[in-house]
Amino acid sequence: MKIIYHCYGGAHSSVTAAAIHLGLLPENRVPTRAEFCAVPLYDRQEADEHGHFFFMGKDQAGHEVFLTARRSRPGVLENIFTGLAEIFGIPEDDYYLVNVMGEVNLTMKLGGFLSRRWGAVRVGRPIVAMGTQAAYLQLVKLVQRVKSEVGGYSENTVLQRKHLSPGRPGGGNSHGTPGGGGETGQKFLEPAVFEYQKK
Amino acid sequence: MSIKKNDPGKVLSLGKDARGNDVYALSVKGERGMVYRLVNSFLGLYGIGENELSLVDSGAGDNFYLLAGLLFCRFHLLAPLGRYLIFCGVKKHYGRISQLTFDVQSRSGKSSLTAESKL
Repeated sequence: MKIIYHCYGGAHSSVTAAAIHLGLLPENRVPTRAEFCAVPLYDRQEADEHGHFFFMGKDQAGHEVFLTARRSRPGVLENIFTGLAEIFGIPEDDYYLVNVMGEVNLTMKLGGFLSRRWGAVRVGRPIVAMGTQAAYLQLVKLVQRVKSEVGGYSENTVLQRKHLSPGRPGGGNSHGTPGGGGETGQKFLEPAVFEYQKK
Repeated sequence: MSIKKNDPGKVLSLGKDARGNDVYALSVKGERGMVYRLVNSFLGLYGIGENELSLVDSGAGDNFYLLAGLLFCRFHLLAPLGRYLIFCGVKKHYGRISQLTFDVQSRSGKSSLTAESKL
């Protein structure tokens, strides 16, 4: 399954969520600013790359994790993606779109605006990192909900299955069941296969 | 055919052309470049060949009548005037639209899909 995290600029919240998903960032504590900045693609994506799907890596269950930017048009992304998937006969359970914007706070928006829109990286990046720290545990919860929805992970790493309202096209279907095949323990110490490339 | 306000980016099937190509319509206000990147990236994601889908921007040559008509159609009372202006706009634009369609048909082979996009 392809899990696609999407947000406004694909530079902060979706990158952080994808990094948590892949075990690049810890789930049990809030990372430092330096740890955020060390994540590839964090505060990097430019406006002319919005719409590209960036491959972040494969998780323990073998799901491919992507991220993309869709500006303020989540509906456009979801409609185009589901429409094209229908045309080319791609089953609905082969992809999972996750809207991360629900977890974004004002500090992240301000920092992201300064860094990405105005190019004031030195000012904006610490602010956005601070905002990401504030929103971090909510992002962890979101990722855990996604993992519980898609299944294939160890029970220790996921919460109970819940309805995931934002970003899921075609309702809140769940695919597979949690348990079996996943690795337990502190994933931060053993990151999943990681790479990123522009698709 | 009408596209609801909350359905931006919805891919609508319009049928098949004489060569058997499936024809679709896609409407997105603004974000022209992003839509192209989304579609191309989607094709890359699933390893679909670029010749399987041709994205044609039919909105590049919109004239004043069409744009004014679209604006008036937003207001309930001015909608008839808006429709009239759109009719005039399409009539004026018709030559270019038919030429565009002819060009697309002439370069598209059988079994490829054509998505007419109005961005």
